[in-house]
Amino acid sequence: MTGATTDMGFVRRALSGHAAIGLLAGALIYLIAITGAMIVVHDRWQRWEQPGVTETGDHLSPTAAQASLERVLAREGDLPRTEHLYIRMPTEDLPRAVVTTDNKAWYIDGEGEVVEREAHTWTEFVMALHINLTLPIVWGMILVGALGVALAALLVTGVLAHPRIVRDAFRLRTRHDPQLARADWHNRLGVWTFAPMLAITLTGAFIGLSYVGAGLLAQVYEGGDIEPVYATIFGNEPEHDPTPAPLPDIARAMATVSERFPQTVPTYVVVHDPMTRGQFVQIIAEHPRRLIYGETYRFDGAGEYLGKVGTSDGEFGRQAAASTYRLHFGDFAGLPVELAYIGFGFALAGITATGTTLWLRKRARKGYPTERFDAMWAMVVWGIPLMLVVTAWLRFTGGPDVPLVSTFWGGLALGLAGSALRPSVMRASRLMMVLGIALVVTAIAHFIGFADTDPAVHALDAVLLLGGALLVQLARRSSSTVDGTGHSRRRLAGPSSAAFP
Amino acid sequence: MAVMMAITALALAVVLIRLGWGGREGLSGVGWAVATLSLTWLTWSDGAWGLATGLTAGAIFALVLVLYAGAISPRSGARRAAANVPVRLSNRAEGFGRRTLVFLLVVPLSFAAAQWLAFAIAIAMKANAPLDANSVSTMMFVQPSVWAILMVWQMVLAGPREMLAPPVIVAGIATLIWVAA
Repeated sequence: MTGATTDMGFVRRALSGHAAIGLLAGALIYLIAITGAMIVVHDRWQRWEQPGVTETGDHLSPTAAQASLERVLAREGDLPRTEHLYIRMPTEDLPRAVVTTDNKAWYIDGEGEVVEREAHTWTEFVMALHINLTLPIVWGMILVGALGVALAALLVTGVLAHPRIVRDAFRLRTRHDPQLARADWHNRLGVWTFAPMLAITLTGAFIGLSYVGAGLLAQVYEGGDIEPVYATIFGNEPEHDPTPAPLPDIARAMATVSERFPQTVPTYVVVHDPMTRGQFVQIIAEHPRRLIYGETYRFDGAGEYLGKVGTSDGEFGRQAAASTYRLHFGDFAGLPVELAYIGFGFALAGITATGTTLWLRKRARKGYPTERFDAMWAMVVWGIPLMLVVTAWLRFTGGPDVPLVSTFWGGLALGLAGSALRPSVMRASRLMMVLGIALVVTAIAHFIGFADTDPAVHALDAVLLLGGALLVQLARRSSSTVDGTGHSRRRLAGPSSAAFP
Repeated sequence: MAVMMAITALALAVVLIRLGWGGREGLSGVGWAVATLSLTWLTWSDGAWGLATGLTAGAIFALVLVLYAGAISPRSGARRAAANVPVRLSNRAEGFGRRTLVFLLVVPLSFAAAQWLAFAIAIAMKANAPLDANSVSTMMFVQPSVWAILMVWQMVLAGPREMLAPPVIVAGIATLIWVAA
């Protein structure tokens, strides 16, 4: 009896701690989950955002890469001289090569000709929301890393607070009482995504919080210079020599990688200090069936091979650190794993949404007023994706330089204020309906507006259309079946509708 | 080919676990054994990539079965609505002070303790040599992992007084490592 009481006390404390962390970090974790699910296929979003660009194909020849250097630098003749130049190789997801300088980024075609400015600002904005919440990069990444730690703690306390984890393992009572359905969605999704989610969240925490550790080591050992700390993992740059020199021979470097490491797939060519005697070239190449983002092969300006950094076969710490990125972003086994990661992202969003709603309903049953919190949480759950759609519209109508960040946060703040002031207006089912319609309209407008582009671009239109139609259907069913007490009689409570406050 | 076979075995394992759930424990045990063997095989043949791919596939197979359970879930009447029993609100100032204290213990204090431990381990690893990839990356992995463990530990304790112990213990261990290094 004493043991059982102690166990229940432990479970109660675990549940209490779980709720405390969830309430503290829930809204931001939800935002990171939604944007994380989206940016698993960020290359496809980039193509969706700029669909009319002439594409390179799935391969950029060394000759074309070499030509692109000259043409981009000529195009930027009146801009400050760039100190770095990156050629992003085309892939199946994004069959476009991109040359990025310190000034701008340019799409290039299969001959190395400059085609158009890269201007996927909306995709970059969604990525920034996930990576640094659009805050200054270092502080934002540290905050997101801290949220990753909080999420890891949430996952573990969630399991500790679940004494019937085995008994309920495959039970999902979607047509039961709404609160029970919510709890089932929350617990089942949490339990069965536990292992991959823990890997995703801890690698995210590693990426974000590494700045703190590296900064500390830099202060103690490198006089505050953080570059030598990161150089232990990612390799260092040679001494800078600004004496003018011809363009580097990247064609020779690329040919060398193809000859010496034929199993690899180059993803980036990086030129440091181009057109100086100190210039040097790095080619980052993926290794199939490895978690590392790639190996970095180093060359001098003449294209002479200097060696590699060792992320593929160097010290264990170097390989481990280099393996965090693809494990976090789900970019290690093609489309099936990308789809799985999108599923995990939306599952996490569902877990977060239902978790806070469960807490709000418990409070309501205890007699606490929750109407405003209900409305504000509904605005978080449905308002965040809605504002992402609104910013996409703004991007398409106003061009790539519109203020997406301020529009998103300003709109969300207004929505939250409106929810607090007029909670009866900001009902979840209404917001869900608006989001569903917005997604359908976006899909149709995009399909019509860019009808003559590659069919692969329209795959996302189909997803948006289906998702929007599903939300409209769920919202209609929900609003027609919620009775006066707030208890739903709907036949099937999906994770989205179960999140209803 | 070997990867596809291992993934197929994982799918079979999840089905066996589901069939054994709620009764035939033998099947469930076989399912877990097959899953363990498949993941071991993937890790043996393809290292971390194989393990990550296997875990991802296994989670998806399990989710599919759970979603199927949701789709065929029988309809059930709503539970009787719990009465809205008025409760006495706790002293708001006292509650706010307690929550602030918990936040300070769990976030900045535990963060610092975890960072101190990670730093001490890195120093011990590198000894008198220059910074290297192993010590630097170990520091970066240890900090978030230990902070998460501290957070879990603290959140299952009764109150702020008890929550002070975990970061103090970790900081103490870190100091011992630092002194020894």
